[in-house]
This record gives sequence, C-alpha cells and structure tokens, in this order.
Amino acid sequence: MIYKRVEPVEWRRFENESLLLNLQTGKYFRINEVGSLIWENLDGKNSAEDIIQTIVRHFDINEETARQDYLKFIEQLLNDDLIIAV
Amino acid sequence: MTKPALKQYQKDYRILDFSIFTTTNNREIIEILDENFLYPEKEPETPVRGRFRLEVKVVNNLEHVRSLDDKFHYAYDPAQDALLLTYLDRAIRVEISYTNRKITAQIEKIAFHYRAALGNWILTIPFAELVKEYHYYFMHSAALVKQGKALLLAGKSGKGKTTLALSLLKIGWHYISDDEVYLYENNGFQVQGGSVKAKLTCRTWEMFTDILGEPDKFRGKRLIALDSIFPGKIMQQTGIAALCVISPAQSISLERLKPIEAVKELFSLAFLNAHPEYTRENFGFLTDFCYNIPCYRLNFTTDFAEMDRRLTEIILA
Repeated sequence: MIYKRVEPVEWRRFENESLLLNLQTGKYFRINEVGSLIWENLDGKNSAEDIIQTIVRHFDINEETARQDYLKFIEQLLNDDLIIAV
Repeated sequence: MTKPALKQYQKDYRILDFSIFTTTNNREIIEILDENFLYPEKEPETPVRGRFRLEVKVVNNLEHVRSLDDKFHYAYDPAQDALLLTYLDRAIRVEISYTNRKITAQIEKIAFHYRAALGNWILTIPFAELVKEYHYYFMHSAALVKQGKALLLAGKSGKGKTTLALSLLKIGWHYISDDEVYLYENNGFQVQGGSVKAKLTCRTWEMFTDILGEPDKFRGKRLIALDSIFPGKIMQQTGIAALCVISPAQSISLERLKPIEAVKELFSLAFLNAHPEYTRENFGFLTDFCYNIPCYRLNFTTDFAEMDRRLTEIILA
C-alpha cells in the first residue's frame, strides 16, 4: 500500500522531531525522529518497502523493528486522518 | 406605515494602528465597550493601517441562557469566508467577515450580565482575527520591558500574568500589557500593546493594596487605569528578547524550552485557528518565533526581587 499526506496538514521539522498541524481541526501532533522520517517519505510515491528500507539505513536498525515502527505509525496517522491511500 | 429606523449610536475605536467604526442600536453597548476598552484615545487625524466595521444589534428575546459558563464555540464558513462565534448558549452571536472586514454581533439583552467580558467577545477577539491579514498575531500574554527589551509572560487566565506584571512594574520595569499583546515581525520580533488598564480579580487586587487601596469585594475582574499610578511607565511597542510560560509555584524554577515544546505551549494561547490559511500562517509565525526567541517555563513565587534578578538575566543574555 502507498500512502500520501492529506492536503490540509502543515508540518515543521524541529531538529529530530516534527510537529504536524491539521489545518481543518486545529489539532496538532508531535512526532519523534522515526515518525518524522516516515512522514516526510509519505509522498504518494514511496511504497511501504521503500520507506522501511530508508528507516533501516538511516537508523541502522533491523528490518523487523523498522517494519513494526512503520506499521504502528501508519495506523496512528490513518486514525487521525492525516494520510490517505493512493 | 413604515417603521422608523433604529436609532444608531456610533464610535470610532482605535486599537494599535487600526480603526474599528462601531454602530449599535443600543447606547449601553458603547458604554460597555468604553469600560472594557484598554487603549488610550488617539487623535482623530492619527494615520491608520486598516479600517474595520463593527455592527452590534441588541435584541430582547430570551429571559435566560442555559449555560452560564463563558466557553465559546467557533466555526469557519468557507462559503461566506466568515468565522462564526457563539457565546452563552448563542445568546451572543458574532460573525467575522474577512472579505468585508466587518464584525456583526447580535446580543440578547440578558447577556449584559456578562458586562466585563462583552468587550473581549465582540471587539477584541474579532479584531485579533481581522488583523491577521496585516500579519499581526494576538497572544494571551503580558509584556514587560527592561532596558528597552521586552519579556513576554504567557499563560492562561489565572496563571499570574497580572500579578507578575504589576510586581515588576512596581520595581522599575516598563509595561506594555498585562493580558493581551500583538506580535509582528519587523527587523526581529516586535510586541505591540500600550494598554493603559490592567484587569484584576479581587484576589490580585488585594496583593497590591499599597498602590491601589483596599478593594470592596467584587466578582470577576475589574479594570484599573495604570497610567495615572505609573506615569511614564506605559510603552506602546518594542523588540522581544524572551518569553516565559508562567505558573505560580512554591519555589522558583526557570527551564529553557525546546522550540517544539514552546510551540506546543503557546499554540492555544496565540490564535483561534479556524480559517485554514490563517492557521497555516499562524503556525509558520509561531514556529519562527520559537526558533528565534528564547522561550522558558517559569514557575514564579512572590520573591519579586529574585524574580527581577532572574528575568533581567534572561532578557539581557
């Protein structure tokens, strides 16, 4: 599955973390370094495998841990209507 | 037979560099706004950067309101490019038209019981929305000045903004506001205010009987004119050196906030965040602000000499 960020969301990177703001609801979310990397790669082009491999390379962790982090974060983003499947 | 036109009362209010031409069918509204108005009168010929209109219609349909708290609701209507605000179970309805630069308020007479808050609801909050077009951003914050540099003291109602502001004013600081300021960027981040009144609860007043005298017991907040008590100490604007998110405490602590922490603390104090485009700009402004201005979490006590020392250190750093 490939996902992309929804339009009414603004975000800023703060060193290792990011703040996402849903412009329609005014609700904001603080995400950690792994989440920030995933978020920035949710451009509607990168597949789950692409992003998981990016996490593995960037943080020097094993693939299973990266996959779990990815799936857990995607579930949170879907619950908060911050991404959609393309 | 045609009905006679409603009698209109009118006044031109000046907040910062803006004019709000107000008309109403009820004379008491002008009295209430005058009471609530924080800023000094300006000369009529003073130049203005923008003009807005406020129309207030008072009606008398309700005998009571269901919810007596002061929570309010707001929603942006993209079709009208307008923000709708309701207070007191819709006894007060305010429409802010961004396109027409106009505020239209309908007030049930019963809502006059909330006299001290009416100015905020129908004038201050809508005004703060309209000046976003000019990149002026409201913040629920006090602002004090030492050696030409401003320190913002941000916090929700009851966190001690007025207490700390008046205490610092007493020991030599200059004052821009105890409650509401407007921020903008012009060769660095600037704060503008210049209110000549402070809003005090009875409890806060009792801490300053040496300068204000003994209060009679009252509920809610009262406005106190400061320009006569502290002549020459009220400032209009200056550059910002630091910001503290404040809370009263048993012991003093001052902790530097990361920019992301400061944005989260300040987000709800700064803006309504209803109009999506302005919300985007608000967010951008606030993140730039928190990257560039040192922000702290301050737990303060009534040891004001020590507060003076610690706060002077951070604005001169």
